[in-house]
Amino acid sequence: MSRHVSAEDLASLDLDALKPRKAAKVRAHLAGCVQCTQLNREISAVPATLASVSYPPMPEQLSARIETVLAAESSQRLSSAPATEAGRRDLPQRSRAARKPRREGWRVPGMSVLGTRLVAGAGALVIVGFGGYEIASHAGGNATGTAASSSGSAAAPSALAGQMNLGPSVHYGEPSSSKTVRTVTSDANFTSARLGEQAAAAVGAARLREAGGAQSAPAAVPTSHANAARSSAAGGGAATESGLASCLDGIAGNKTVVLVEQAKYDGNPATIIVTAQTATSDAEVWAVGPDCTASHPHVLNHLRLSRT
Amino acid sequence: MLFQRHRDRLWAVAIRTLGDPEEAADALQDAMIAAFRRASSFRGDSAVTTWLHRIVVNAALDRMRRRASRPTAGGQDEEALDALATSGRPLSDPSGTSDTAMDVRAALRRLVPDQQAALVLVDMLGYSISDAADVLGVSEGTVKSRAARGRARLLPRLEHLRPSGPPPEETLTDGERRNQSASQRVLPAQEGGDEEP
Repeated sequence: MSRHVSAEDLASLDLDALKPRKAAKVRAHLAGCVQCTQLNREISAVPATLASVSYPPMPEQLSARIETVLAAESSQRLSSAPATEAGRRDLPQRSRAARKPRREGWRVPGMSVLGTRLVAGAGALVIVGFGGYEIASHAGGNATGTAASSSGSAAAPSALAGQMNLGPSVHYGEPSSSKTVRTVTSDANFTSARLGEQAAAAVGAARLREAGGAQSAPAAVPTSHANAARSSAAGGGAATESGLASCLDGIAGNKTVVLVEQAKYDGNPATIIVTAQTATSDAEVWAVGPDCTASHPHVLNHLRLSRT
Repeated sequence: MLFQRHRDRLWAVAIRTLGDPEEAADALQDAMIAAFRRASSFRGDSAVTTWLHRIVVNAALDRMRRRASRPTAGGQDEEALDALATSGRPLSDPSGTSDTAMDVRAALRRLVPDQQAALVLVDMLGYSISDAADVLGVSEGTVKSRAARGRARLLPRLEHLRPSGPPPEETLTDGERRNQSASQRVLPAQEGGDEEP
C-alpha cells in the first residue's frame, strides 16, 4: 500500500468497522508509515478527548419544572379524555372543547404559571399514561356507583395522580393455563364518576412503572395462586395475595388481566381490575372490594372501555 | 418516578448533544412530555431506559436540525461559525472553560447531527455500539460508520491533537479527496451525510 490512510479509515479500524481484507491492508501500511502511525495515534485519542470534557450538571430547578409540566399534562389529559357517544352519557358535564384531546404541548419557561395553576392540588406526581382506551358503556353488575357516574358533578383531577408502587405478582386462571399479573398499589382514589378515565390512565402508568421498576425490583417477588389458598381476603384493608388470586379467577374468566391496582374507590379501600380479551380488544374495568373472592366478587362498579 | 431515576443520564445526553443548557433543558422537557404521551405505546419489548434515551436523543436531534436549518448571520465562514458555536457556552459553566473543552464543543457543533449523536453516546458517554444502535434505532454498522466519520472530521478541529509534523500528502479513502492535508480533508461544517452500510 503506497498511499496514506485516511483518518476515517483509521477510525473505522479502531471501531472494528473495516472488512478484514481492508483492515489487513491498513495495518500493513501502518507498520511502515510514520505519518499514518502518527495520524492513527491522534484519531485514537479523539474518544478520550471527548470523554474528558465535562458539562454542567442538570440545573436543580429543571427537575421540578419538568415534574410540574408532566403533572399539568396529566391533569389536562385526564380532564379532557375522549369518550364515545355512549360513554359521554356517563361522563359529567363538560364542554366539547374540554373533551377534545389536547395534542399540542405547552412550553413552560422556568416554572410555568399555567402549569402550576393547573396542577395545584395534584398531590404527589407520577407519570400517568393513557392506556389507549375510552369509555364505551357500562356493562351492568351490582354496581353501587354507576348512578353517580352518570349524574355526578365533575370530579377534580386532583386525586388522579398518586404514587404507584409495584406489588406482588399474582397467578390466576386454571392451573393448566395459569397467567400472572404484577399488581400495583397506590394511594389514588378512583371515583365512580371517573372510573373509566382513571383506569385507562392507570393501565399506561402501571405499564411504565413495571417496566421501570423491573430493573431494580427484588428478584424474588412473592407470588400466590388461587389454588394455593382460596380463603377469603382480609376485610377492611388491602386484599391479600390469595384473596386477589381468587378474586381474579372469578373476575377475569378466560380474559387477560392487564391491571390490578390496590387503591381506593370513592374513598374506601378497593381493588381496580382491568381485563381484556387480547391486547387490542375492548377492556372491562372492575372496582371490587378488598374482600373480593371468586364466589363473592363484591363488585362496586363495572364498565367497559373500547379501544381507541 | 421514572424520570427521577434516569434524569442525570438523560440530561447528560441532552447537554452533550446540544451543548447549550437552555436548549438541553427544553429538549429534555419536550422528551418527557413525549414519553408521557407515548406511555401507552411502550410495549416493553425494549428496555425502558433505551426507550427514554431514544426519545431524548430524538428531541435533541430535532432541535439540532431546526437550528441547522435556520439561516446564520453572515456567510458560512468557518471562523464565524466557530465563534457562534463557542459563544453558546454558558457563562455559569464551571467546567468546559479550557481551550480543549471549547475546542471540542465548537467542533462537535460542526458535525451533522447523526454523527454528533453517535459520538455523544459512544465516545462521550461510553455506550457500547450495540446500546447506541438500540437508542438511535439504527444498525451497529451505521453507528460505527457515523462514529468513524465524526471522529475523522473532529480531529483537525481539536487543536491539541493536531499533528505537529507535516500531514500526509496522499490518502487512500473511499470518497475522501486525496493529496490533501489532514485538516483539509475535513469537509465543511454540516456537510457530508452518512453512507449507511
